[in-house]
Amino acid sequence: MVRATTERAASPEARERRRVRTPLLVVTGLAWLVTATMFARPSSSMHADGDSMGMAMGAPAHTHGMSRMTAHISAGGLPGFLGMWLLMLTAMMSPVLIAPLRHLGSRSLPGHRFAARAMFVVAYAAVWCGSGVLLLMVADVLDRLGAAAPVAIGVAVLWQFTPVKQQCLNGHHSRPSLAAFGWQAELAALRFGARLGAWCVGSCWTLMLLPLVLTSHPLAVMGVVTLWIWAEQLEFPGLARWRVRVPTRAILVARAATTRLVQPRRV
Amino acid sequence: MTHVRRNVWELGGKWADPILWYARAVGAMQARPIKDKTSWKFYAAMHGMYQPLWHALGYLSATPQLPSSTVVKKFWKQCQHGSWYFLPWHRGYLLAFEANVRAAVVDLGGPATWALPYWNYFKSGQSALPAAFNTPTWPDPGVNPLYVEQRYGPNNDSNVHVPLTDVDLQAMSEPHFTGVSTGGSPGFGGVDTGFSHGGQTHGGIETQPHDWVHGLVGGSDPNPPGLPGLMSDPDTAALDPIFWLHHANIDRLWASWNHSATTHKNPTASTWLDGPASVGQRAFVMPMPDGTTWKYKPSELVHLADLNYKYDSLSPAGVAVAPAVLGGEAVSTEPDVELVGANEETVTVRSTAASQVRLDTAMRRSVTAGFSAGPAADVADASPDRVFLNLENVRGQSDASAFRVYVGVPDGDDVEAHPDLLAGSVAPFGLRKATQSDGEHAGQGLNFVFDITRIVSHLHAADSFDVEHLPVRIVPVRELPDEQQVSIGRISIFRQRS
Repeated sequence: MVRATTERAASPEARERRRVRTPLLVVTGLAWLVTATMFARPSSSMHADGDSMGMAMGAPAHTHGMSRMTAHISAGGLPGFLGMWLLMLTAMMSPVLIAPLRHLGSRSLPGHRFAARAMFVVAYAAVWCGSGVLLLMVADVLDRLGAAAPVAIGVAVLWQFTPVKQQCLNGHHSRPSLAAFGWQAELAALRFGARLGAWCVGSCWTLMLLPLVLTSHPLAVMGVVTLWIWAEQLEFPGLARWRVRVPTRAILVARAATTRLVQPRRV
Repeated sequence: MTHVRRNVWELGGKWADPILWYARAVGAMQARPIKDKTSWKFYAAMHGMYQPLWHALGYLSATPQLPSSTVVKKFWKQCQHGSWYFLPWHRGYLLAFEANVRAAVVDLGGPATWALPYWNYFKSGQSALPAAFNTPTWPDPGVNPLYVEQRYGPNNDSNVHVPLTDVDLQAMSEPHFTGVSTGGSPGFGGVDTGFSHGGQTHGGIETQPHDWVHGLVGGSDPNPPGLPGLMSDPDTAALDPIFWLHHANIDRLWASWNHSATTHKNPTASTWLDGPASVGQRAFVMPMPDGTTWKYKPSELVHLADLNYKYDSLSPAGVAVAPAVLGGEAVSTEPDVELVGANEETVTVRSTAASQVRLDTAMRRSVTAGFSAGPAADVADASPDRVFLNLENVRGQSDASAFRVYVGVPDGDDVEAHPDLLAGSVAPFGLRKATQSDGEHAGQGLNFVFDITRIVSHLHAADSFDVEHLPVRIVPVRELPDEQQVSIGRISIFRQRS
């Protein structure tokens, strides 16, 4: 029934997607490499053996038990925390930005593409940095209460079921109309970045809290959280209501990808 | 056996055998409960289903006995729109439907050779709704199963026809099957997507004539609350028996496009050939009359001869025409698409609306550099650039909100005096769904793309394109009530170099 096909050309859309995706995946890989290297250094204050990501982000071991915020400000300072936080964001969130960056590139004037993307990333990162400080404060409070891990895990599971989580996931798919000229173009990109960052924080804040409070294997925790976030990006928007929300599409996609790799190629 | 799909207007009379047997089989399928996978309503729900609208239109009771959620998830809401799967999915849908109708025809004592007719509204004298669909009475007792009350026509007066001024066959000249969603040509068959029940950017043949015929035939109820006609909305369209004859014509136009030039090739990417199931998404599945489920992929549907059917004619308009494109390389190349300009505000469409597309000076010059000062028709061929008008993030609450778009009409002039400046017409099939924030595209609306190379060439020749702002006029076919909330997020112009 099926006639032989002699050519397997990627579509123009697929090639354009690849042009944006490849550098972002390279950046993602490098960020993971740097993060893993930092955790692997036994003498570093960013060690992996003793404490949570919060400790790893600049808080020396002897400060454990102090207020995390105080520990970070005194040991590495806010800049130290933000540096590590940005590294984490780069490793975890870069692939999430492929579609919005494509949107910005294709809907901006050629001369404005770089600026639009840069503004978008700055606003997105700024929203996450502000949220990161707040999350660290939350982690600190939970730590003082002495039940950081179970509470953080409980909140993460509960949040997963809420309508607000779905609203935020839906919002992450938004691609607004963009002004094309002058400062309005930059402002539109900033607004887009800030809004997407807010949707992202809304859907992921409980997940991002986990590496800050779980006391063992922070790199592994970060890896699991990252895979969950990436998997959620593959889901379609849906009705905002209370329900069990597990990103199962990723399993199907992974299984299909494996099948395609092992099966003989069409000739 | 090869089944032949024939022109419905040339079957030999209003109630010629093929149409009479179609009506009888439709009646039999309509009598089956929605839980039956071969029922009329089940097949319609596979195209799309929105329970509130089905309730409002009287196609679902207050307490319907629906199939199980597993069956619903597997079969319903499958139709592919705004996607390069639009044509192959609908071809499979038609084949499965035809097999079910044929089985019903045979059960009723009809011929096993029965094949689905097509409605070629482009052919001279055949733009009116075929007569058998237009009357409540028919040769058998009871109400004609082909008759649908919620079919309001282009003027919402139930005079159902396809005005040839609103539909065209421009897509048949599109050199590539696959297009892009980045502002350039969306191609003949659509844009590379995954499983796409309501994609944002419709391909050439989907936009015209597919979407327009849906909107023109369906229209909307002139009485409050102005519900759409069945054909106007993808969630109800397949309830109308004329849907299948319209799609047979679209399927025929795909075969015609393939046939018209050796360069008119279908995609060769494995993601198209193997379908969305090959990348872990939903499979295309159809219930067959013997109780089995047919799972298919596009690669199995590209040759009609393999599928045991053909059309009595592949001429797009029903008259012999030269192939639109001959020779040259038309295998999908990577186009270079760049924004040339955009307007600066959201446009709300109720009655005629105007906007100005601001053009970037450097980009405008680079576009016009491709056009010489000579006669427009000559220079258009000489330029490698194509120019596209984009309507981005079009949102609204009714799929029956059709409008026309004019480019370059001077302020104060009547658009009727400038038919040559008509960029295109929009019948936003799928608009309501695309506007839902919990829909597949999170309420981003639809994008429409029109090739305005010819218009820009004319404007340039008349020194009307070298301007800071290019006027764009949006003219609704009928005034749009406020509650339809039709808006265009941005109007932009792109150029595409292959």
